[in-house]
Amino acid sequence: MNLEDLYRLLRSAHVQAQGIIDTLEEPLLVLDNAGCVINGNRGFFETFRVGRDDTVGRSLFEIGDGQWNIAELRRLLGDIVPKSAAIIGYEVQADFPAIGPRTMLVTARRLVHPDNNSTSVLVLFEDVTNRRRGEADKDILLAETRHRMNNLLATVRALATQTAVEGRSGEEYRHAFLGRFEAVIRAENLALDASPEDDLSALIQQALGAAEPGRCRVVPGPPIRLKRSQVLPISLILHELVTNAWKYGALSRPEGVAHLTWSVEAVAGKSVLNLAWREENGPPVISPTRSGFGSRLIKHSAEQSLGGTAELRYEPTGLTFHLAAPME
Amino acid sequence: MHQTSLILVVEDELLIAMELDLTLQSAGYQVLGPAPSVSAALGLLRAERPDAAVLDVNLAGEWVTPVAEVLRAMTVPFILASGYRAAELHVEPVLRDAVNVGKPSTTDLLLRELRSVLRSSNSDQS
Repeated sequence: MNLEDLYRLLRSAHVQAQGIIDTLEEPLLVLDNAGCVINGNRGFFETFRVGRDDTVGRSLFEIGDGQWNIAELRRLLGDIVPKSAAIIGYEVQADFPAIGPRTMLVTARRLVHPDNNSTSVLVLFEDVTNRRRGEADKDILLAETRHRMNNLLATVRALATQTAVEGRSGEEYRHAFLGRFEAVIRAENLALDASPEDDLSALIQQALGAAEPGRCRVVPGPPIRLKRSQVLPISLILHELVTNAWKYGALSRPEGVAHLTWSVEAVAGKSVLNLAWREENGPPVISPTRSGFGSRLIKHSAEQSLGGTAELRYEPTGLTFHLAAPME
Repeated sequence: MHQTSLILVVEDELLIAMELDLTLQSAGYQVLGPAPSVSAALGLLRAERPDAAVLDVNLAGEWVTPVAEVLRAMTVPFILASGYRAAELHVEPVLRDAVNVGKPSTTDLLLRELRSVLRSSNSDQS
């Protein structure tokens, strides 16, 4: 029941007003035209944890350590009595004795007593503390989501502008772009997952997934949970290694094989991830065939993003790659 | 300007940082960094003084504020490349008045604003 209905009912002579008022859980007070409490409902005394004796007969602006003693509220209540105005949802934020910091909406209306034309003010309080908190949380979540989205868009743009176009057909460009784009998606999905125990294995499995079984031989190391900032660089490094092996390296020949292993070592008291990739039985490696972007990606990922080192060697037996990255 | 200007880049997202690096180098600048964190950026600033800086604001959760404050103390001008809106940046006095080219930013706008802060910084010092 809203205040309008209650107001109407209270004017009718047939209504058990007291019963209705006490059924209402929302705190309700009846004030005289000087702002003194004539009566309050159970909801008021229970919500604010004050006794009837501490409230009835005293000014609204004195009770509860003067929490309601706000200049604006005094003025508004002062205006209701002579002008038959109403206050709807006036927000009060205060630290209430016994219940702590709450945000309350105050709604008030003039009542004229049918018998003697005396004026009272009916005041309803609505606790919107949780609602406001929920709204604030939602705002924060929206801002973070927008920020994440801007970063993703900028990331995709960065991929598009840096993927090489020279000496390539549109189809080749698109294929190269989408391959890396999928590595970004994999990294993003993994980062969003509810923290699996072994991120590294999952990433490797996904990166190598397209290869036929047996072409990429993984000798797993210990399960490693990666920090959010490590997922994308590692995903991109793996993609580079696999893609280049397909195009120019071991995986471009049916008998060629790639080996992948990892371990964790303690170096000067810190954990360091060692990831090793070794190709064999591939075509003879004459000169580096990796694109400029590919080389830069590996270097940036390893050095800037992971804070480590990457070493690429074109051995006669096949390409080898070694990554050393602090795990912290 | 006779010599190549050195620009500090602070950005935590790998591909975005690489693109900034490439864009600035293609435009004839030298790049200091890119640094992905406050500590990495401060480390770079201890060793070298850039002519200007391009700063992302949110670096894996921490704000770039300490770096901006050091740059201001060094009288090195900076621009922001951030997805945050003016109202959100308003909370940090040192970031409040900086030009924000946004994210993703248009290359033209980024280079234009960078040229602009370099020019006014040069004229301040002459």
